Amino acid sequence: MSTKTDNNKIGSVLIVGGGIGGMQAALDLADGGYKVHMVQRDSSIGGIMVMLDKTFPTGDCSMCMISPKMVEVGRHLNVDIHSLSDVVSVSGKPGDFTVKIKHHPRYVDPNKCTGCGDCEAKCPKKVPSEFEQQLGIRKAIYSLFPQAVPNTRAIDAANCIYLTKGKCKNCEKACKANAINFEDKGSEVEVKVGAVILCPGLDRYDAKVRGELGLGRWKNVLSSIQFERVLSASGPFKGEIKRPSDGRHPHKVAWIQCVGSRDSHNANPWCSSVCCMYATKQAIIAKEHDSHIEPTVFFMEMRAYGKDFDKYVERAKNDYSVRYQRAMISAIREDAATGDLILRYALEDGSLVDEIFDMAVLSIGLEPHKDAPEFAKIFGIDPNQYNFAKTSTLKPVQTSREGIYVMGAYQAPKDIPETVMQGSAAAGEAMSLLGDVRWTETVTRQLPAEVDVQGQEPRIGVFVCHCGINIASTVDVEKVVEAVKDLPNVVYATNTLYACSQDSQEMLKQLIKEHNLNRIVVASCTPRTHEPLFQETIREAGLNKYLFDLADIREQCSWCHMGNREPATKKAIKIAKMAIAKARLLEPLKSETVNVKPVGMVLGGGIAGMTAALSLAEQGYKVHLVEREAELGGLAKNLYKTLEGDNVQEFIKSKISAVISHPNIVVHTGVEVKKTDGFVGNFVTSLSDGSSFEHGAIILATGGVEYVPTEYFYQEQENVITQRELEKTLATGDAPKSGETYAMIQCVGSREDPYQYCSRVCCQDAIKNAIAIKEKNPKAQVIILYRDIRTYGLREDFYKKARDLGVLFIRYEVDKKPVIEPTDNKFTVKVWDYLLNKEMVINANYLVLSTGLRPHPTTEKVSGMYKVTRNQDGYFLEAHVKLRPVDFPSEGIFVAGLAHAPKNLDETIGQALAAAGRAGVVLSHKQLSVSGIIAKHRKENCMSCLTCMRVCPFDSPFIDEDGRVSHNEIKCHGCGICAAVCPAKAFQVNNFRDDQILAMIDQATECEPVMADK
Amino acid sequence: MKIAYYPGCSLHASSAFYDVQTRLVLKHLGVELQEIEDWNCCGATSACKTDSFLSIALPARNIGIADASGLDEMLIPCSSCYSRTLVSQKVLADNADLRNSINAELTKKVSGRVRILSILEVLLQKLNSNEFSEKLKNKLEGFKPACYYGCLLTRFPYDVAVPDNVENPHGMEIICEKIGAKPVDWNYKTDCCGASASVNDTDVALRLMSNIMKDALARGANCFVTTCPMCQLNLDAYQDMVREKYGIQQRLPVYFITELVGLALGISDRDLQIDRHLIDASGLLKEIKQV
Repeated sequence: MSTKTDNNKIGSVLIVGGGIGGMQAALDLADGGYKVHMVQRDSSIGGIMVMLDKTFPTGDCSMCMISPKMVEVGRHLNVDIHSLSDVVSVSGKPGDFTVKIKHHPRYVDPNKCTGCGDCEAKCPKKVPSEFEQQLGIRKAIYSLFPQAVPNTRAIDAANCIYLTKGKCKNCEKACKANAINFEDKGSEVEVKVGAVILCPGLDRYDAKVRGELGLGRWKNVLSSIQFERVLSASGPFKGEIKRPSDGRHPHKVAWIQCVGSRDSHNANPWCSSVCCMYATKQAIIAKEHDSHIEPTVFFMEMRAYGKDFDKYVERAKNDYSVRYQRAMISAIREDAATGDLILRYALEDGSLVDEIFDMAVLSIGLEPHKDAPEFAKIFGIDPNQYNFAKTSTLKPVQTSREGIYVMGAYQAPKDIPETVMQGSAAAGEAMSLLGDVRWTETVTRQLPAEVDVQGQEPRIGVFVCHCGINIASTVDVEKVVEAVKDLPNVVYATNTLYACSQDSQEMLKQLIKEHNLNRIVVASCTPRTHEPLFQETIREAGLNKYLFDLADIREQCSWCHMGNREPATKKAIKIAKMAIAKARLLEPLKSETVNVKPVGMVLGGGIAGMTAALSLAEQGYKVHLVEREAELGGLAKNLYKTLEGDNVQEFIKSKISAVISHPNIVVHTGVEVKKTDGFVGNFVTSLSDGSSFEHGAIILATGGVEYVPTEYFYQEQENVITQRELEKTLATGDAPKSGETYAMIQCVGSREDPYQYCSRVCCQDAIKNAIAIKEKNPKAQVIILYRDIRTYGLREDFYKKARDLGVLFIRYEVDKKPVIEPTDNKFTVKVWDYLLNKEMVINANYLVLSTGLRPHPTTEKVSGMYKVTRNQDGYFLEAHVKLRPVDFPSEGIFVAGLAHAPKNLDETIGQALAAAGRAGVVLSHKQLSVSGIIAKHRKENCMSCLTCMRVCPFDSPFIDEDGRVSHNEIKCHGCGICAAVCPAKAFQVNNFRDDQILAMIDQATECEPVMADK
Repeated sequence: MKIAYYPGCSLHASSAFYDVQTRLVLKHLGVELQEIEDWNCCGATSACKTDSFLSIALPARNIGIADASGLDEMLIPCSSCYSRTLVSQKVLADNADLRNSINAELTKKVSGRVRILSILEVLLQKLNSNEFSEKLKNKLEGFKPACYYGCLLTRFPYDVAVPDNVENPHGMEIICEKIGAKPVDWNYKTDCCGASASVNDTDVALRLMSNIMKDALARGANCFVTTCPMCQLNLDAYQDMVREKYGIQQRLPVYFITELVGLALGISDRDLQIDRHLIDASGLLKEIKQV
């Protein structure tokens, strides 16, 4: 089983690719006790997600979600980012790999560059911006985008005037930090790692191959990624939707689906999985930006297979008047005079239409990187036939080479949450491999003891930053220093070129000691990126890190008041003074710590639960697996084969025996949880059999059930069966007979009220069984009546295979369902065929119903027990649909499998590994520390009105033994909702106390003194 | 350099001047054409629509003759012949049974040796050679052609490798730019002109040609340039009918690519037989001072 006797393993992991999936894996691993080397070919991490405007289905700003993550990765003590780098070779064995990394020359010294951007402003060379998809320009010295991590600029040697023609050096003259190094030749480094995770991301299909669609030819034809930049408020058009040809606001906008996908002739045979939804999102956002826009989406099949996706499409239709037209566009012509586009398509009845649009967006598909074959060779892994990394349904993140894992779009085309999920899953697998070498390669910062400042008079130091010329060109920095240096309690005030540069940090530490400073205010840029840096610095000087405040005079002043020096200076003074007013009242805060029980509990003994339990056990933790049924296995016990042909029965048997025999797993079958108390790291659960145990994390894998149809004569007539029953017959019974006809009906109990969601697995099930019938007896007939065939990703191959085998597909609409008439042991199925415009009558021997999935009936109870919410359809609602797909808002509780949403077996396994990875991070710590910024509850002021209990998203207020409200600070996130609503002011958030806020407001509203120079 | 040459029926009859130009231009560029002996009709107009066996077998005989000639390449200037012959060669390569049964009847067997080239491929091969630059006498400034590939040159009824973008080809534009002309980008590069319908369903052909004419004019083109004798003849012969029916004022001469290249190489308009057009093609030359 476990091979953890090998002590030569190395507790660090190489992650190749710095997109959202790689970042998730990096943070999981680095937080969970491993050193991470992240190799990224671009000059910044971020990947594709940073280019997107918003994400579906929540409409959240993409950059706002990913930017804090990038900062976290960038600042993590145990993550080394190798940007502008490639892996050259990998040798060694699982647990002990040697990796050579090539650093390409950057021509800017990252130790000196502060990211101020002065060089960029002076660079004369304009280059079409890759980030803006050629719709905007960048300079030859550049950062990919303003929030880049690392934010060190890089010189693009191919475009640099000095490096190509030998003169210019404007950037060198502009750089006050002396960071430019034209002599940079790059370097090669060697690192030792225990595991490798590949997530190099994707390329997009080059739609110019489809010349008839006019991309790169007609100006008003854009690719979907270009349109993301058009929508983006920071994009080339500042979020205003304009036609590139004439700047006019478009009225009719068309989206054209499957450009580069589902087409083995001119493009890729697979479905790119994401385009139906992103087109819907773009149509909605476009409409939100400009209500005059009339969006039309031309599609083959609406593949809204994900959680709450169908509802999103319905909303697009009903609330945003998005028109969905089932048609393929055969040509886009341009009207020479107006630049309008003429789209040609055929209606289902065959008639040709030429429709005029102002703009068209091509929904281009995803494909592996052009150099994927070479990439696979470097890492010694097998590619699949399309040059994605080869994986299997049952081991979705494992490559052909042990110890090397894969995730994201390099595994198969997929969306953000699935990528993030696989990121955590790959991290979980690496943790299983390297369970016994946690914390062996990581570093912790050694800090001096904290100086006790309790009761001391505040001695405030103020540092006002020029930020090169970012602040200083608009704000008179010296005047700000002048205005604050004599304020009460201000002992020292100065200005500095870059407050964040290495030498300024040293100076800051020096001055704290010299002047005995005990409160620090820095007036510079945004706390989002820089507060942690300054906090760390003052902590290194012995001050509690909460004795710090940051006055943002860049984003909130110099950048928005450019050219207005005098009022901007006044405002900067005011912002600084407010921070000083608050600083007077700052107090040192203690970060509480709690001990962690290194034990996991997994609720549910299906595939998800067993996979998660095994992963945690392999990571080295004890696991309690609780299953209410008498035996393990769950819903998958009724499966025989996967679509890809894996033997599920054998798989379950091996999983069950692995679980039962694993020394770290305690299996509790035939019991239910009676009660769980406690909080992250310290839960106590008692079971219905009276036993109880302590544990630090919980994974909810309570599964789902299949819908039992009440329609189509199920359980009334013989030979009306479900796909599951058919699967069993095909696996264990006689072969289908020649001439027999199987009529399959899709979406039984899915995608209609009250179950407005897609069950995701049924199309695959139907196609799997149809192929099995045809392979057993080609003379048996299979007809699949469907609404949309949703064989997303590489599953599309099987849809094609079924068609090639002669399976017939007939589409029906929900308001014109097939009508069944039983006639002794046979059925007459009447269905309207939209292509023939005629009613079809099918004589069928078997009626096979593709029944949907439902959450397990216990989900409701479990949701109440753990205070985790569910969506409208009863599935558990994750903390964030994009970036936290296995977490709950409550710390220490995770979700996997059908309990979260309908999904296929590989996805269930992936999510279970992810949940185990996430839980492993929690359990890896002996102690968890809680942020100092939390709400403090003053019991003496509290009336126990329960308002806080109703609004707290984290379930931290509770009724204490005395019958009154108390507050569990361990669960608190410091969001401040309780403090805002509490009528008795019993809650105060540390560092955002009422007196601190009032002092700032008083300062802000103070009557303005007449300035001396007026 | 010597290559095999299959002129096809059009170049021996209605578009004989295309044959003359092709030989002249290529001779100028040092390409010797060897017309294959005893060739037959490729069957493009009728056989391919009525008899699937003949549609392969008729070109197969020509391919056999070319294969036996010992030459590596064969030029077929007519788009229709090019398409049928290329398809026949690929079908026979893919289908051994059919190849064997056809070869059984042929004196000169199909071996698949000869590479079939369109006139664009031959010209593009020569374009970057020193020979071409040396012999380039005139810059064809003032020519704003709408490069018209027609429906046959890049779009095949069978899966053959296409040497250009199928729906937005560029070969002709590259040649035009090289000789100083300013081709326009336009919508109907690969659309059908209705040549095969112009006799039996004239209205359809006129409608298709009107689309082509209107867009070319809207884009500022002052002529068409094509490789296909069917397109050339159709747009030439029916242009006045199109103009009358659709109220189009201007005429647009319809050149073969060989004419423009010939002029650029300094071959006289008389030698190129530019007076053979139905829509006057000499006027534009005078207008932009090319003669």
